[in-house]
Amino acid sequence: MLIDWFTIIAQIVNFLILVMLLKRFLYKPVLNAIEARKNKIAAELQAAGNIRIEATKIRDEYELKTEKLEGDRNALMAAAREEARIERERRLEEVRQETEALRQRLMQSFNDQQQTIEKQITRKAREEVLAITRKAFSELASKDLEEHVAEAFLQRLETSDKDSWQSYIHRDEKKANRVTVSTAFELEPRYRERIIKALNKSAGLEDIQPVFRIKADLVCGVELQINDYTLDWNFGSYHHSIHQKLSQEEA
Amino acid sequence: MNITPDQIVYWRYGFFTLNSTILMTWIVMAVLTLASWLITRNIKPDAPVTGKQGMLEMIVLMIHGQIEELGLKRPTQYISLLGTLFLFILISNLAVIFPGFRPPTGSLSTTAALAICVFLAVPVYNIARMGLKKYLKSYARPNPVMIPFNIIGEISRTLSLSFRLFGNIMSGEMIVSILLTLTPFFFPVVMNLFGILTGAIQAYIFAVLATVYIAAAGTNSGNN
Repeated sequence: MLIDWFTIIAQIVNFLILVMLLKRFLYKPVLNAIEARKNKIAAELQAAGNIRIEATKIRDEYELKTEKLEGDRNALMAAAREEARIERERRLEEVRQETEALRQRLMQSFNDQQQTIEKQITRKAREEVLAITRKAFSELASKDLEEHVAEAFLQRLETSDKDSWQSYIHRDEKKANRVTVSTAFELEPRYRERIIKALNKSAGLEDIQPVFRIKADLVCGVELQINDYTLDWNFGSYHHSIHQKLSQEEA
Repeated sequence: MNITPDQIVYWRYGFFTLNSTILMTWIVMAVLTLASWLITRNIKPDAPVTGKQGMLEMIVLMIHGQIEELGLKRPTQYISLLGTLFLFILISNLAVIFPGFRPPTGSLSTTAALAICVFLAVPVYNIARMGLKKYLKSYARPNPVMIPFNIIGEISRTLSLSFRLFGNIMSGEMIVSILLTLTPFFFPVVMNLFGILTGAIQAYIFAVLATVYIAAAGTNSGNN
């Protein structure tokens, strides 16, 4: 017989036992694990969503802050640029002024130096000219020229005003007048006599005996010294007076 | 040659009989239970999914999805019965490749027992879901004249369910046995492979039909 009732009942029981066993050992743990995992994933997705929302919020805040910082940065940069520009212009102005002052000092120094050099050149040239002149006079000076000069001196002496001598001559009998006649060369006796006569006549000095002497510094000419007064006509004194005058002008 | 493994008796004591069908069923039960226990004993929500666990979850989810697709909105309630039906029949049919194993589904007693389980499960589930009165009313649809026809329909489909599975598995075994006597090498192997295919399909068909029967009662009542 194909159907065995005991086997049918046994198989029903077996099947129901298997259903319970598999429910206990298969479906329940597997479905629970799947459900737990699903819940976990859902919770993680929820958490991720929350984190995403939070992240979006933070990002928005960050972007706002970034924009604000960018604005602040730009403002600070603009202010810094403006400050730098002003500082730069101030420094440039300072440098310009310092440069100008330095240039002025340099120009002043240059002018001073130029003037000094010019003065030195002028003095040197003058000294050279005077030295040459003096040398020329010395070379040209001679007995004949001396006599011509003596002649000119005598004419000047003879034509001089008598009153102009009064302040130099001692009228007191007790004090003798000292008269010295200096020449570069030995003076001829005739000129010596004429000088004595001219002195007697012009200055009113009678019986005067002047001291005649040779003075090479005169180069050429005659120098008459009465007490502290000196009347001369010679190249040396002219040369000296020119030198002094030039020196005074230079000073 | 025995058509059914019920006739292979190992032990008998009065009404109680230990035949091949019961023994092979126990073996299949032991294998399924042991495998499930070994794989699921260490399941933890936070632990990474192992390959075996993943395979088991895939099978369970596949059954779960199929039940849902066939019209039952809360598949977890039905997965114990329908999933066990599928897995028991599938493993029984596939185990035919092991020499000496005679599938318990090749016994009309087993298929009848499974059909009776489905036959009983349909009212149990539907009464639990919609109540006794509403379920009994579903037999009087579209009018009370149809009550006997509906009852006959219920019984006949249970019989067809059991005979379909039995016929397919038993015939497969029979063909293999006959072919073994005629051509001992090649054809039995091919037919065994064909039997594996047929067994898998039959497991699927049995489970699907059981699901459809349970779902159909709910549909008739307008509430599943």
